[in-house]
Amino acid sequence: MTNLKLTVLSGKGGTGKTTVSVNMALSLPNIQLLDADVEEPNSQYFLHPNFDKEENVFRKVPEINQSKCTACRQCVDFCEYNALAMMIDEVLVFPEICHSCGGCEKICPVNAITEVDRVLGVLKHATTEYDVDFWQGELNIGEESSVPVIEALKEKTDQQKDIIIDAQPGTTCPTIEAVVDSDYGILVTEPTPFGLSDLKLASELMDELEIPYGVIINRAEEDSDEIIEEFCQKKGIDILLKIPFKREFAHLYSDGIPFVEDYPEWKDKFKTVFEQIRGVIDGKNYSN
Amino acid sequence: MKIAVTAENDNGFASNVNPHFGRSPYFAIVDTQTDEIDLVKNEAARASGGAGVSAAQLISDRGVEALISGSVGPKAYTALSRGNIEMYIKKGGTVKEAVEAFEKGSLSQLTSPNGTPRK
Amino acid sequence: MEKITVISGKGGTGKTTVVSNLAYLAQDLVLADCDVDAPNLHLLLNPEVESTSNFKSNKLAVKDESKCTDCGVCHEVCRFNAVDPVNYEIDKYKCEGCGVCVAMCPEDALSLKLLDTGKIYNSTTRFGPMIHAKLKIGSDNSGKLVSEVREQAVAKAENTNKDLILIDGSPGIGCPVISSITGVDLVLFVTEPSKSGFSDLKRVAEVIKHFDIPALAVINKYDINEKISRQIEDYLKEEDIELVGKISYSSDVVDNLRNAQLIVEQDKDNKVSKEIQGIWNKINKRINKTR
Repeated sequence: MTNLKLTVLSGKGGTGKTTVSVNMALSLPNIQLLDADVEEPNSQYFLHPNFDKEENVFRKVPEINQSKCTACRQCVDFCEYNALAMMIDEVLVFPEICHSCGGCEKICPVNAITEVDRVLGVLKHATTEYDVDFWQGELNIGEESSVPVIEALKEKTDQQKDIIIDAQPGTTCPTIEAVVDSDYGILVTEPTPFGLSDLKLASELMDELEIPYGVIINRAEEDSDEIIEEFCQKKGIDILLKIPFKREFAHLYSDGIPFVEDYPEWKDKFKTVFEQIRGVIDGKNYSN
Repeated sequence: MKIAVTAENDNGFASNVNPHFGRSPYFAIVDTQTDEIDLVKNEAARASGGAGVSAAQLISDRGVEALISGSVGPKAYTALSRGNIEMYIKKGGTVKEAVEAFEKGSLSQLTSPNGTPRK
Repeated sequence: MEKITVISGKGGTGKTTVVSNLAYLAQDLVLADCDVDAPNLHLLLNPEVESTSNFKSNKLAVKDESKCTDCGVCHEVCRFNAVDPVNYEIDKYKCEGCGVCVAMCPEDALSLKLLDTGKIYNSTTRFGPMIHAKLKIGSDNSGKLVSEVREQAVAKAENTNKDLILIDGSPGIGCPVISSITGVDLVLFVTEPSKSGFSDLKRVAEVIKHFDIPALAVINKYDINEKISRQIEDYLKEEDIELVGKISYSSDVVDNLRNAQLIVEQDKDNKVSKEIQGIWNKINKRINKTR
């Protein structure tokens, strides 16, 4: 059996991505959990990690050698991001908005530009009391792009384990980066018009990326799930699990307690979901 | 001297002063000696990021020596300071009123950027 | 003209529900949905679209295959792994439109193309005009589209003589949020009493702290965890953010939401409706509106 890499995502924030990632991680034997919601990594509030490793994530930004600079302005005119300006013949660098493309350094006709490292985020590691190997990515406040932190986080993948990646909500680049190399996506939604609307976006994204996926309905209620079931049925999307709305679950969530701790019968349900996904992937690989 | 006033619309001296610098739709470039006015569309406003930097470059390239606006963000502030462009605050009113107040010396200078978001 | 942005840091705290219900109480205003990645406000306010405009902002490298000699320089210089190492095709999701490959290509086979990045909708609702947008899937959310929505909302308010703009802000802590709040008169935080909700509130409050905009806060679903609610209240006091209300958790709100209804309209005597009315009264006083 090959190890699986799953990404848990959602078109909308607050549907229960972290709830699913964490509770699923706690239900399975050989898991590495990567928190790729690097603007606001929240798995830590449920895993109570003792961080034992910290690594900075760097990107390159330009440094101008003013004595070599001839004020030709080619770098300023080239930069698509307005990270360079020329004021009174001096080239100014604004590293916060630099995209680290390396273009100015290449384009300078007198080699007056070198690139230096800039910290944009940090990766933190912990082995948790739950026997889940845990890496968290954090983007520094003021930095624009999450993608380099998520790329660095993915390099921490332990090939000997099954991987669960908690992605940033939405359908923009950081979410894409967290799911693009995965075997399967779990789309978490809620049975409301908001949940449906954002599920449609996430579904469209997964179709574009050509990655198999299924849905978990969080805060499910018998009378209301229809709104999601109808959509999934029409598109032929598997509904893997329904987690019912329970005030008790909401309270546990608020206190940072994974509900499988108080309701261990749910571990079997998550195990079943995982095996179902493995079946889909193995079936896919076999037929290829 | 040439001064720039952030302008909301293209209405000459009657244009309203725009509250912000970076994405101000127009700049009113006024020659205080000749009273000539040039309403320049702010191409920097179209930028995804660094609009303030680009706007600073734009007015610097036009030989502007002083800027009048409601507020200036931190990157624009840095760029303008390094370009020796003085910054004055005017909230509301028209370009005409801003220029008159500037010439009278009744506008206060900006000594630090508004809206410092990070660090 | 007063501009108020409602933000939350974390998604799912009830921002859009609060904005919609406040819109009903405010009655005559301009609305702006700045959550351009996953807009939800239209689901409750049912806008009628009057006009749509294309938003172009992201750039993509495109190749003229007739000029390409497969030399691979583009792959070598690309920092974003956007060029396939075998067929040298450009990955539209990874390409950031930086222009380095364009500059370095010895055959001039590459150029930067401006893409359709999203759509902006100019609509009407029963409470007034609404500007909303949708970013194209996979696009870079730089905050630029948020700025456009805001600018159009201001223009609309001026043209229609409305003196209040209520903005449903972007989630998160990055550029889209900053674009949602620059130059507004008031920020309203909508938070929830959970560890992650509290943490995200602190993070977004830190980001916008230096913008010097007066801030108010609402704790939504406060009775899900009263202990954390109190911790949040203490934090707000320390940060000089006025707590203007606490909203009880109620399945009635969710039921109304499912039917795209506003609880303050459907059930004025409901506890939650009264709580939201109280919040609006305080905001109203704050912005000195004479209505």
